[in-house]
This record gives sequence, structure tokens and C-alpha cells, in this order.
Amino acid sequence: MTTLVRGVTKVFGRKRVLSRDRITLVLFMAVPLLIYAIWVWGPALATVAISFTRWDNVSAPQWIGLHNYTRLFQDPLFKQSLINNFIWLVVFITIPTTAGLALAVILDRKLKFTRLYQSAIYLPMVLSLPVIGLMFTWFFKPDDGLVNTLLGLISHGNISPGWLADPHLALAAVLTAAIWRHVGYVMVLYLAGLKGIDPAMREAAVVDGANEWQLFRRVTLPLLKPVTIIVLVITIIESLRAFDLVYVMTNGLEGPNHATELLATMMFNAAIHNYELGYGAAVAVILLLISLAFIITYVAQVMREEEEV
Amino acid sequence: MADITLPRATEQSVAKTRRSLGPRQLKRALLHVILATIAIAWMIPLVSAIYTSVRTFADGTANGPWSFPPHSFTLQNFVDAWTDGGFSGYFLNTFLVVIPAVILMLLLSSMTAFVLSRYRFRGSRLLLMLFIAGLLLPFQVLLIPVYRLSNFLNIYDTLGSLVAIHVAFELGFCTFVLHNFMRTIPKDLTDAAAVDGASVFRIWWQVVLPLCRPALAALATLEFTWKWNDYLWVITLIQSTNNATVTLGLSGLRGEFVTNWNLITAASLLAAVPTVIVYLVLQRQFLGGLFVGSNK
Amino acid sequence: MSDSKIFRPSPSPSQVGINVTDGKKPFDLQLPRRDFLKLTAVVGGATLLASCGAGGGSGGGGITLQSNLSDAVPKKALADLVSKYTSATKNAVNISTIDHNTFQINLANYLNSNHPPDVLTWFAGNRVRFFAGKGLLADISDAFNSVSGYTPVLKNLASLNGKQYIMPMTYYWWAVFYRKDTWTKYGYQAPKDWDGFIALCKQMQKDGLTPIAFADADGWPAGGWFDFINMRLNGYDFHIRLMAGQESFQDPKVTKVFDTWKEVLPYCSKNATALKWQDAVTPLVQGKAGMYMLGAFLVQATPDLKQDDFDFFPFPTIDPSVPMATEAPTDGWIVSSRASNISKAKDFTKYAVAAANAVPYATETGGVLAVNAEAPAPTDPFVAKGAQLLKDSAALSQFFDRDSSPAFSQNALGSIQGFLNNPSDIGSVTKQLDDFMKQAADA
Repeated sequence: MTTLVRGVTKVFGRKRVLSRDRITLVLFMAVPLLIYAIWVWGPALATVAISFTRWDNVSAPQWIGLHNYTRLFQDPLFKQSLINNFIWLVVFITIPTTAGLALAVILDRKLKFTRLYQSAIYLPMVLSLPVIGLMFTWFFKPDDGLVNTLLGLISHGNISPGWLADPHLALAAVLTAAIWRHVGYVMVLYLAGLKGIDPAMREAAVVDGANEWQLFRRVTLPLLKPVTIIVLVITIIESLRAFDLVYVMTNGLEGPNHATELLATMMFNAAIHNYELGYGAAVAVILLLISLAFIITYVAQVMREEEEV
Repeated sequence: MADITLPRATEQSVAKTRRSLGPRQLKRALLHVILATIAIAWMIPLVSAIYTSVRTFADGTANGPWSFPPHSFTLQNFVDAWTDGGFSGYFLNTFLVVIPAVILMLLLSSMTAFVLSRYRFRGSRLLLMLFIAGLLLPFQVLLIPVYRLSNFLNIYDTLGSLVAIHVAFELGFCTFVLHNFMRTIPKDLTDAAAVDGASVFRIWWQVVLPLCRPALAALATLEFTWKWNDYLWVITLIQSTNNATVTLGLSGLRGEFVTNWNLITAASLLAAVPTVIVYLVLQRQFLGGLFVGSNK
Repeated sequence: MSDSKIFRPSPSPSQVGINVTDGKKPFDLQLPRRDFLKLTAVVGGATLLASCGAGGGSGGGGITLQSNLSDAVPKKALADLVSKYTSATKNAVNISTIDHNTFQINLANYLNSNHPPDVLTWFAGNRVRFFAGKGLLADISDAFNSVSGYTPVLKNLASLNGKQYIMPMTYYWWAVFYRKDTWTKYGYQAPKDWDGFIALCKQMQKDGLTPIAFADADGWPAGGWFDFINMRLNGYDFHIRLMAGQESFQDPKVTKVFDTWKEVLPYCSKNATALKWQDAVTPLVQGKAGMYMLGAFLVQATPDLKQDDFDFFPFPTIDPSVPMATEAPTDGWIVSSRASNISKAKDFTKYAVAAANAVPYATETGGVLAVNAEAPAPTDPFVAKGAQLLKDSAALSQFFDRDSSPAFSQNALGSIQGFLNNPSDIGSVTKQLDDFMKQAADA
């Protein structure tokens, strides 16, 4: 905090900062920072410490060094979770973002009923997760679910996968529900971005004889870059945090045979369900490290841009 | 609502094409067909939820969730959810948590974002990084330590503990978005105000915040929806149903064995009403621009 | 057109100006400071109000009761029991009902908090011993011993190191349930043993029925199957040792359990791991499935039918030399060791488990029985038959998860789902189960 005070003083020293302003600036930084440190970083650091212990949330924690980590790297569930999280991330970064962007670009033209289309695609997001999970579980019911009923019509009853019962398809089924939610979200973010683009820029490109694809590729997409960054950040967070839908749709078992296990569910089960807080914390730390890789990339990008400005 | 109007939308555009069959109109009609199909497909879960909510539990059990036409029609589920489920109390609690939380998180994060986007000082980048890094934390990590903390502060099982964690945890995301937004507000503007003798507080309050209105509205919409639907923090920090919010109330309708899904679905639809209202009210501002400042 | 320029061309002051002086101002520019103060006051006030609104309702000298009875019917039965207690004793009881799963994962948090609830619902056996061993539960031996209808089996389920920590109230039974109408229509008879059971399945299949309704998305229904087959083949004692980590899952005895289980899988509902247990009730009600091996709570899921529309038979004998054991999960009351008023809390639990109060509660709930031995035989034939089944059983198990640990059962039930999807690979499942057991012991 003293660095901050000195720092602010220094910057404003040049511009003759009044002490009143200095206090405001310090308060503006200090109050949120204090809250953040106490409620977010404190507990996060506590998690790192807990990961070196054996603790059941009841007795005193026992220091066991790296034991949780060695156990983690031998745990087949951990490998499975890593793979699933990776698949989730790749799918999430490609499909819903592209779909959301495409929908946004189409809906941004002054078509009739755009409001209706927008609301139809966004509004279902407000449903509570257990209900979304339930609806999708029912869609994927093997004998009388909507999906298999449709497949049955097309294939005359020849194709009837077990979906959530099938270790190869369970993750796909859960991902479908997650993508469904995410598309509306991405679409709204991009729509907001498109509204902010000066129409004159696109008109100029049209005058220059650009066709629609060129217009999109050369003008719209580059203009949307700041939104794209936010969308990517949110998508990555959502992929790494992915938890609720899996938990709801597989009843907390991430089955069959842990086919839908993710890092977040593994962590939750270990720390909350199984009273193995140390082990859960170790999973959390790994998750944290993966996140940090993305954070550093992002912040480096921000800094480079700031230097350009 | 939208599902009723959408088919009409397609018909109209098709009708229009018949009158003047240019390639442009044809393309446009095709576009509407595609969009309407997608919109309808996207509404299916909501429509099925509504369908489930107006059927009786006995009907669902005896005939399965997809039997059509339904063997029953009832609004009793909504009545039961509201009265037996004790939802009026849960709604009040949720408002008492979500409204202060959203206001506080926006105020606090706008302060941080303001300082970090306007002033360079030693450690300013580190601080920015600290906030952004926090936003990527998987929050399940924090459950048990935060439970301990709130118990230590003697605010476990109070709505205040929920407000505190919501505000704190979302500071990262809000600071990230607002910082991104404020970076694009030209320095000349704030400098001019400073030359006129405005205090830093005034610059923040009278110049920067009004310019951030679209971003604030967008954030308010998102955060309201997220916090309204929060479940993990509620179950971690609240113990008595006196202090329960809507989501905890909803889960209280789930049995160990028997769950009346029709009732739960009805209750969820009721619980979604405030978020729909917030979306509709703030939609204009929201679409007006999370990012308006960045391009115009 | 360089990117960075397009992204952030400085807005012209006029554009910004329009925004600032736009008719609808976000905040009143005239009186910012007062406005801000007002805002702060409102926010602060709301927060304060919110915090004060909490504080727990136990202030009035009553007790707080944390309940996991979130099913509609038992919830109502408990409310009735409590109001009876309150009018009899003038002691207030403030019930908080949390859904069963959430309650289970949060119990440690409830008991650890500065103001834990006084009385809580919980499970007898291993699960109560875990928390008692951590010192979180009050020793209620005196209250326990003042109840005259507790049998030695119950005392054992409530005890750790000779002290009692739970007041058992009700239990229920697991068996193979069927709809009487369907069976009368086809003329089926309850099988005597495993061979008879398989023969019955074959007959049902011939008649176009799904012989065994089965759904395992929840995981635990398969736990019941494992428990029963193990107890019928290898006996109760081996089963309990196995679940406590004292035997190996790679023992050929356990492989035999899975081999035996494999014999009935072809007769079970397809894709069972995609179905929630309530989904599989529908074909049973519709007469499309022959039977359903489950707990007696099954009858609560069929609002159109009465419990007398159903009948059941005990899980069939496999090895006649092994005495019959039955799954009978037992629930009761625990008292927090830091309860605000332990004696009042104990008073309530004594009242609740007395036959005169537990029996009406059990009857209202349906499908459960009061554990109190002094309880009169139930009048309802369905429930009476269940009571008889439990009396005839040589041993009562608590269920897959309750007889093991949370960590083991959670992982294990996931692996068993793997077995259901690929029944040929028993070796890797039993190895996984052993690994999970080792991990759980290690944690």
C-alpha cells in the first residue's frame, strides 16, 4: 500500500496533485483491493496451503508435503478430467463462439423480428441450471427422449444411442447443453460490440466494392477484436470452471464410469462431498496454474497494446 | 411469447417473397426461415419447461415427460411453489442480497478501473493483473476457506456474508470489463476537467461514470442474472431457511427420493421472472453497448 | 487500415458531449455528492438490514432443527410432529429444511459453525460415528438409555466407544416391488430363489415386459444390487468388512458377485445409467415392466396408485446356507455438541422417538417404520409385511454409501456404472474399487 501512496504521489507530483485527490485515489484503490485480498486472494492462498495437508474440514489439518500431488498424478481420474477439460475447452472456443458471432452478424442487419430472435436465443439462459439439466436429460432419454425420437424418424428406428448412458457420448450430450447456453451469451456480447461499430466504416468498404465476406473478414472482424478478447476470456473461464451442468445432468457422479469428469467436478467431489479437502485443493491448484497460463498471455497482450497507444 | 410470433414471422416474409421474387428477397426469406428454425430450436427447453410446469406429477409419472397431448393441465404447481415453497420470503432475501451486491460491486470496481485506466504508478500493472487473475479463479476453490472466514467474522448464515463474497468475487470481472471500457475514454476529456479544477472524485463521478453507463448497464444485467441464480455460495454460507435465497428454496423442493419435477419446474419459471424483467428493461442499454466506447 | 487505429479512434468531444448531457442522465449531475451519500446510505442500510435479518431464530429459547427431509410427505409429517411437540411442551422448534444431498455435503459446515443447529437429522451407523469421533456431536447416552424400545442392534448402530450419539427413529426396507395388477394379469408368483428369479425374468420377457425396471443415473440404485448379491452370496459379515476396507474387492468372492449380477443384466431396463430412478417407475406403473428392486419409498413416487396396489418379495436367496440380511437404512436425530440448549434438544429427540409419536410420523410418511420395538404392528398390510421382513432378517445393513465412506462410495458407484455399461470387464472394475478404497483410507 505504501508503494501505491508513493506511486500516486509521484505521478501527481508532476501534475501538482492536491492532497484531497491523493486521498481519493488511494481510497479508490485501497478499499476494493482490501476487500479483494480478504475475500478472494486470502482464501485462494489458503487453498494452496491446504493442498499440502490432509484435512477433513473437522480435525486439525496435517502437513503431508507433496503427497496430494503425487497421488494426483497417479490418479486415473485426474488424467481423465484433464482430457475432458481439454476437449471442453477446444469445443467451447470453436463452436459456440463461431455460432454466436454468426448469429450476431446476421441479426445486426436491420431485419424484421431481430428482437424476437435475439430474445428467443438469449432468454432461455435465465432458466435455473437444475431445470436446464433436467430438460436436457429428458431430451437425451434413450427410449422416449426427443433426440432419439427424431433420430428414430430419420433412421427408421435403427439409430438409438444411449447418450448419457454411453461413455463415448455422455460428454457430447452434456456439452450440447452447455453450448446451447453459451451461444446466446456470446451472441449478445457480439451484438453489443456490433452496435458500437461506426456504420460509416462498413459503408466505405462497400463503396470500395467489397463483397459481404470481404466486408466481414476485413472490416467487421478486425473491428470486433476487443469484443473477441472478452468473449475468449469468458469462454476460457467458463470452460475451466465448467461444473454445474455436468453435476446436474450426471447426478454428481460424472458417469458413466467418470466419462464426464472435469477438474472442477473432481475438485468439488473431493473437497466437498468426500471431506478430502487437501486433495481437492491440490486439484484446485492445478486448475489455478492452468488459468495462470491464460492470464499471463492476456496481460502480456494488454501491456503490448498499452505501449502501442 | 416469442414462440407464438415466430412462425408468423416466417409466413410474412414468405408471403412477401411471393409478391416480388427477386433473388434478394428469396435470400432474405431463406434467412428468416433459418433464423426462425434456430430461434424455435433454442426455445425448446423453455417450452418444455413450461409444458412440464402445467402438468401434474401423477401425469408425468404415469405417462412420461413427453407424452402428448397432456393428460392434465394445472396451474396448481405455480400456486404450490409460491405458497408451500415459501417463495415470497426467498424472493425478498434474494433481492436483499443481489441488489446491494450489484450496486456495490459496480461502484467499487468502477473506482479501481478508473484509477488503473487513468493513472500509471509503480505496481499499477501488477494490481491490474491481480484483479484479472482473480477473475479466472475457479470459485469452487474458495468454498471452504470462505466458509471458515465468514464463520470467523461471525457472519456465517447471514445475508451479509453473501453480499460480501458476491461483491468481492465479481470485482475481478467488473474491473476487467470496465477497465477495458475506460481505456477508450480519451484522456483529453478527463484532463480538461482536471484543468477546470475538478477533483478526482468529481472526474470519476461526473465525467467517467456517466460515460460508462452502457457498460454499467450491461454488467448490471449479467451480474444480476448470475447472482440471482447463484447456488454454491448460498449452500456454503447459509444454514437456516429463514435466510435462504430462491435457489436454495428451489433445491429444498427436491426430495431425497421422490422429486416432483413439475413443481420444481414451475418454481424455476417463477424464479426466473425477475431476471427476465431485468433483461428486458436493460436490454436497450445492454445492446447499446458493452463496447460502444471502444469504437465510436 | 491498421487495426489499432480502427479500434480506438478518439471519440470527438461532441459525440461524447451528447452522451454526457443526454436527456436521461444515469446520475444527477447537479448534486453528485449528496446523491452519492444517499446511494451509499441506501446500499449500506440494505446490507445492514440484510445482515440483521439473519442471526438465527433461536433467540426465543426454542431449539433449531436442521432437517434433510425435503420430500414433500415426510416434510409435512415432521411439521406435524413438531407442532404436536410444541403444543405439548410449549417449547418452540424452528425447522430449516435443506434438500437431502445439500444437507449431506454441508453437515460438517453446519456443525462447525459458531451457532450450529441444536438438533439435526442424520444416519445411524458409520456416518454418525464419523462425526461423533470428531467431537462434533453431543453424547446423548442418557437420553438413548431412557428409551425403552431400543434393541441391541440399534444401540450398536448409535454407538461409538460405548457412548450413544444418535436417537434412531425410522427405517425402511429394500425389496423387489411389483404392481399387483400386472402380476395377476400374467399369473406370476414370487420366486423362492435365484433360479426362480431368473426363470421369472425369462417368462416376463416372453410376455413382452421389461422384467426388471432399473435406472442408475443416480448411481445408488446399483449400490443396492451390489449389497444384496454380496450379502446373499458371501454373508453380511463379509459385506460389512468389505465396505470397511478390510477385504479386497479383487477377492474371487467379489468377482462372483459381479458374475452373478451379470446374469440378470439382460433383463434390466436398457441404458439404465441414463435414467433417473423415477424414470423407471413409469414403465412399472404402466404395466410395461415386471418388477423393481428398490427401497419402500418407491410407493411415494406413484401418486395415482396406493401402496396397496403394490406388493414385494425379499431379494431372492442365492446360497441357502447364508442367513438373510436386508438393507434397512436407519435415520434419527443427532444433537450438536455446541447446541445452545442440549437438554432441550435431547428432550425433543426423546419425544420424537417415543412409539406414541414416531408411529404416527411413520404412518403419515408412508413406506417407513418406527424402529422402536414397542411400536404396535402396523395395521396397513403393506407396511406390516415390511415390518415382518425386517424382523425375519438376521442382519440389517445400512446401504452401500452409509456402510462405507463418502469418498469411497462416490467413486465406487461411478465405477459400477462402468460395469453396467461394459459387464465383461469385471477385472478392471474390482481393481478400481480396491484403488478407491485405498485412496479413501489414505485421505
